[in-house]
Amino acid sequence: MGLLSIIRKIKRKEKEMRILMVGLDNSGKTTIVLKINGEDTSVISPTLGFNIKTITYQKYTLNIWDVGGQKTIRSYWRNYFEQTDGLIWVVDSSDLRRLDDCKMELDNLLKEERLSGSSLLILANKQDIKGALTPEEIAKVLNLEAMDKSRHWKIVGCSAFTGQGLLEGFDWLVQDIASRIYMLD
Amino acid sequence: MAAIAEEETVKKEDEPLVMVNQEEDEYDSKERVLQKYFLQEWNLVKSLLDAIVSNGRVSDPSSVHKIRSILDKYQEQGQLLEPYLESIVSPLMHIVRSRTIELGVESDEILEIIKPICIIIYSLVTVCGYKTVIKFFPHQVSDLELAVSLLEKCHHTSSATSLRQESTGEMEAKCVMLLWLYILVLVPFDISTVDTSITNNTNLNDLELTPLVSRILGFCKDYLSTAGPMRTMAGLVLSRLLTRPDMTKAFMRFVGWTHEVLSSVTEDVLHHFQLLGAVESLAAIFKAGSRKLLLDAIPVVWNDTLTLYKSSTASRSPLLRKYLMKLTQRIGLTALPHRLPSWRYVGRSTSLNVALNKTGQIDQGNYVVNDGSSNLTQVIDVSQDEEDMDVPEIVEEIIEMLLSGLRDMDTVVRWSAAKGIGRITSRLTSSLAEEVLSSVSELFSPGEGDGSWHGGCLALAELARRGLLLPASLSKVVPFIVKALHYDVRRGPHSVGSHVRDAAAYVCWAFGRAYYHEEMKSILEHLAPHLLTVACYDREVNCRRAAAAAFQENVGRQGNYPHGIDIINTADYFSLASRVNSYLDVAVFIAKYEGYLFPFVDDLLDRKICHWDKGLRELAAEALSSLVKYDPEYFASVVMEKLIPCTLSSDLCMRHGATLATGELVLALHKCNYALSSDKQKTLAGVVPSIEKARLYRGKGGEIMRAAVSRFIECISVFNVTLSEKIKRSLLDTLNENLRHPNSQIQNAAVQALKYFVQAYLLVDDKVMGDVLSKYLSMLSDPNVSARRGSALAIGVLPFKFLASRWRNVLLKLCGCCTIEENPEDTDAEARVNAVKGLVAVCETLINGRTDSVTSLMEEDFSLFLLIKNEVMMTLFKALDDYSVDNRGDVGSWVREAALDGLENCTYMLCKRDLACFSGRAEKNSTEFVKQQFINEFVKNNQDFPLFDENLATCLIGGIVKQAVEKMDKLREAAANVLHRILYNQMVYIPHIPFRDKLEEIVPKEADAKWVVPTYSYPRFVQLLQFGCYSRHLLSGLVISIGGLQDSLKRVSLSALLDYLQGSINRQCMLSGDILWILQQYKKCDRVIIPTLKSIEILFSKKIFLNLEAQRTTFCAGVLDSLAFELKGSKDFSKLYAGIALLGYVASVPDPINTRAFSHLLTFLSHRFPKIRKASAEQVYLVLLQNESLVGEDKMEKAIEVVSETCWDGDMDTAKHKRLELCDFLGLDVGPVSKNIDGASSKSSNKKLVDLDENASYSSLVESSGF
Repeated sequence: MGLLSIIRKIKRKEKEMRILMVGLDNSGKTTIVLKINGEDTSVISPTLGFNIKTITYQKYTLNIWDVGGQKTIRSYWRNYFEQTDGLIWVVDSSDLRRLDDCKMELDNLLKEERLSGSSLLILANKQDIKGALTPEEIAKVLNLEAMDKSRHWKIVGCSAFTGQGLLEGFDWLVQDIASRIYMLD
Repeated sequence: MAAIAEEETVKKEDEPLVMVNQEEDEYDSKERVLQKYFLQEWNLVKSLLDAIVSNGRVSDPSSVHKIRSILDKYQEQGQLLEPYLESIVSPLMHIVRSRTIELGVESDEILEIIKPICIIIYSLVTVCGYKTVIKFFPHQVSDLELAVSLLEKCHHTSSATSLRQESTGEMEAKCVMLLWLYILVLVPFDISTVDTSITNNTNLNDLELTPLVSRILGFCKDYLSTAGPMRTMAGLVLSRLLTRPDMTKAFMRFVGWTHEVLSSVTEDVLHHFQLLGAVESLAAIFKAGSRKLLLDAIPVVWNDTLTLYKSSTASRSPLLRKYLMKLTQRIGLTALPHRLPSWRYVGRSTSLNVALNKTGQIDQGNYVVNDGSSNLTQVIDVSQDEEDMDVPEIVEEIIEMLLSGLRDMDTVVRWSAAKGIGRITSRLTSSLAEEVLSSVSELFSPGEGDGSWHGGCLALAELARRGLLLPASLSKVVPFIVKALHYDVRRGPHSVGSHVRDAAAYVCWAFGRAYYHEEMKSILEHLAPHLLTVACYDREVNCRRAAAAAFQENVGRQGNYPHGIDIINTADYFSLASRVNSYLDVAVFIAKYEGYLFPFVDDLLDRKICHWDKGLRELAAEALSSLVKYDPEYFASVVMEKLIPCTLSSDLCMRHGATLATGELVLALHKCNYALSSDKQKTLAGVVPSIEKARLYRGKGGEIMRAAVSRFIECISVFNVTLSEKIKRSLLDTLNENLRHPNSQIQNAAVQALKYFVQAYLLVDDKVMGDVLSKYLSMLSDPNVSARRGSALAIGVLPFKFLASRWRNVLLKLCGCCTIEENPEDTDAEARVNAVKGLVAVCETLINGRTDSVTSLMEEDFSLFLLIKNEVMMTLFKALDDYSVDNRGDVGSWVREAALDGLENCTYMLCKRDLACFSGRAEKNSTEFVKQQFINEFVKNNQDFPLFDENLATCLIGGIVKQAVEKMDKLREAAANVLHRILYNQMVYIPHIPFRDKLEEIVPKEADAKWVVPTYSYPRFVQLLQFGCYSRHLLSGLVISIGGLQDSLKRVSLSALLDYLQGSINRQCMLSGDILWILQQYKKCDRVIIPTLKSIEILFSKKIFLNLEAQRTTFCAGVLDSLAFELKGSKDFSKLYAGIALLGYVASVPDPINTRAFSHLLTFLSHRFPKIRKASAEQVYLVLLQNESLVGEDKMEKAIEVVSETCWDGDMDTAKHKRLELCDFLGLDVGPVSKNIDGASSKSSNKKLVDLDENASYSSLVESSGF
């Protein structure tokens, strides 16, 4: 294998990103994936297990792993950590009751060392619903400022129903991953 | 690189669309990809798939093979298939799933359904990689049990064949099922809740595994011991299964099992596979699992790994070592806490876009630590960090092992080790990383082999890519890289090191990507000349391209590099593909920019002039001379001083290269009009004598040196370096000696040198000139063929002054050498070729010399042209008929080819002369005429008795067209081209060509030279058969093709002839006459006669000639006459066969002549060769059936009985007896003829002789069949 084949391989690898999408149940993960892929979002049932979606986004190929958020499933999330470039944490901004739950699960997740290198995008979903918290409020509740300094993160308000905010979030995530992906393997 | 760049632009074109409107345009771009790459095939694949889906199974097995052979084509470009994967994989897996549910796993039918489907899916896996394909596998919880059951069912089937093409899908089914499991074991539910078998037997012991898991573990372990791809896949399944949170128990057990496997090493082959499988699966598990789970297993696994690595089993198996390297680094990564080292260099992580998006706090971890003064706080952080870190003991051992892997003798192992070094170092403290780096640096010590250098480069590149090689250390490693870029170690007749140079380019490439402009600036300035040297002058194309790619990466990322873009544009992927282009164009272009000339020259002098590859040395010498124009002074002084002593080097490569290079250098200086000092000239003059004095012509390298010395003499002659008389003589002797060398390359070099040498040094002295000419003339009749070959060429390059006084003698002597030598011992085709070439060259020299010199005498002048016409042209016509063969084949073809060129040139000479005479006269008479009109007039009147008359023109064209229809492609093309040039000559119009308009029609002016293609040339040239003046020439060539051995040519030429004859009685008549002429002309010349007989036979079989009324008798009589003459006493089987067949045809003709043919045919019934007797009997039989009038009806039955019942190839006497019997009752008057021929021979020869003859017949048979 010479330099030319290395270059070829790297160029191909650079264009692929593995993104893990998690969050509490009913936060809208599957809807977000379907919306961004332009599919019908009218009938969504809870995800039993996981979905894999391959999306061409800009010049990149995103492999989005959308894992169900039910309580029983959560302990299996770590099966999916392997080689994750980007992490998307989806929050139901209108579900005020479970925000503590949400914070606890996120904290647990971020302790995981296999995810330490990945960029974190927090989508404050369901902004279209009245009474939903703003992204700033969510950031405060989740205490994001206290996060490990080496983590690249961003919080974006969005609505999987209208599609608002999704592009902004994905743009940031893809750019952030792209900027460092070729350094590592 | 350019290819990659191209790919990128293609993708970039698609981007804007995708961004504007996701839904539609993604679809749109898919369609575009479809049109671009998958075109018709996709429709085919799609229709085949649709059929499979609608049937719910593969009903036509061939469709699977069709799909597979289409997919196979994309092996190198798997990404092109990716847009289609979903629409191929999903429906197929859906069939697998739904049919299994429908039929139940128990049924045997299900296997037959899934196997062909799995063949399709597996071929996608091989083309696109399993990771991309399995994304489209279904992964519902309920599928898990299904897949396990299916795999269990496949597990016991075995493939009947190991050939992929014949596979019935057993192996593929196993692979696909394993891959399916690989994704299914990810289901986020406790497997015990999924397992339906548990509900039946509820109380599960704590120590037991769930049955489903046991089943998976069971067959996975089995597969780990196989040699196929299932081994790797089973490892993958295990890596995911065992790292699940609910599998701790199973994990510990499996580790126990691997411990057993790893620690009980035997010599058994099967065990070796198991060993590979166990290590591979452990590596996969350690990659996938979390630290918490794996930490406990480390001591045991590491201990086994270390022992195994040191064992002899590992030293024998590169694959095992590779897996061990993988496992080792994974263990190391598990042992070390995961963290991004703060000391890491983060150079190029931020693009503008991202920087703007980031919130302030994020950037903090990314500061560069290299310039300590401005970032004191960070440095303190680092040191604290280091104190915190405690490095487990085994990490040292692991790094040790990875370092030893870097110097492994196998590339795959070094690769894996290098990646490991990179990964592990990224988790170390900066001081430990320093240690790793210094250990890696040790690999570049002189005592290490090429493997270590390669491994070292790979490791450096991996470190740089990850930002683990801090800019402060760059200055330490750059010297190694520079050395590695030029790494080349002689190993006997070749050298090793291209992989090191390539890897060094990789390091440079990684540097360009990793570091900021400030850090790289000085480094790049240092590296760039070396990179470009490799890019231009490396022997291997991959190294040239790699170096150019590395340079491009640096220019692209670092920006602002002087002339960077210009250089990249010139030295691109394609221009570097050809070595000659790189050396002579790309390098010369780059050298004009500052800073490259001297490194380039140094590289050529130090490494390329003395390269082991002779071609490369020659190229390097030329490359060196092409750089002279940039700094002649430097080359004349420094470079030449360096080169000249090397011409006497004890190393052959060095002295050969240096001699060549010095010569080329002098030539290049001459072109720059650079004047060399007399001192320098003296040194140059002394080079050849000292080479001779050192006796460097002898021994192994002598031949190589001789050619180089000749070239050197040529170069100094062109420069006109001052030489003493003594040296002149000695150089002339050298050349003369080389002239008689048997190696034609040396000879040609000497001739080339002589041409310039005599012009420069020998033109002054009449006596010397005379001596030289006499010497070469006498060499023309030398018994040594090499001397003859050389001298003919040498005379060809002598200037006019040498030849002026004795031109007649020279020409006649050369003419004599062109004809085939009388003494068969002396025949030599090359000598004749050279004589032809020399002859034509001398004619040209003489004519040009005469027109130049004012003193030319009109009288003598004319006699020269007469001589050319009468002697030279005639000699060349004879040479055009040189069909001599030796064990190399048709060597006469070389002479013929040379003669074609010679005739062309002589024609021009004569025509020019004619024109000059005429227009000279015409000018006096009437100056107002335009030139063309003179010519027309001239042609019409034809009263001047021109040198080039119609007779000569006919012979010339006839000779050429004959060559244009013979059997050798090369000659046909050459002849057609000569004809084209003669017809459309720009300088001088060639007059008197009969039927010129028809010829111009056949050979059109703007013919795009397809003359090698028989289907193009034959139909055109056969048209000439209608002109009496050309037909015989042409036909004597054409029969060689029609009756030859080459089947395709036979077919084409025959069909051209038949098309020509189609329906025209006149043409047939004319052809029959011409054939008879050939039979007459080439009597007993088997080269022509045999193909002619065969041609007649074929034409007869096509019913040509047989329908002619008047001509038939004449023609048949002519053929019979010829046969009577040719077949008499012939031992050639093919000739006899053809003759007998012809006799058969003629005997069947309803014409009185048939009796004559028949009686001749009957004589062969008692021929001495059994095969001939048999062949003629068959022929007689056919004749009897066809021509009932030949014998009376009453005798027919009896005759046929005799012919068919007799064993003709048996005993000779029986045959003779039967023949007489046959003749007798047929009442044919054959007695006298047969008795004269056969009777005489049988009487005079006893039985023994006949036996001998029969033996001879077999050797003749062998010959005739072409051995």
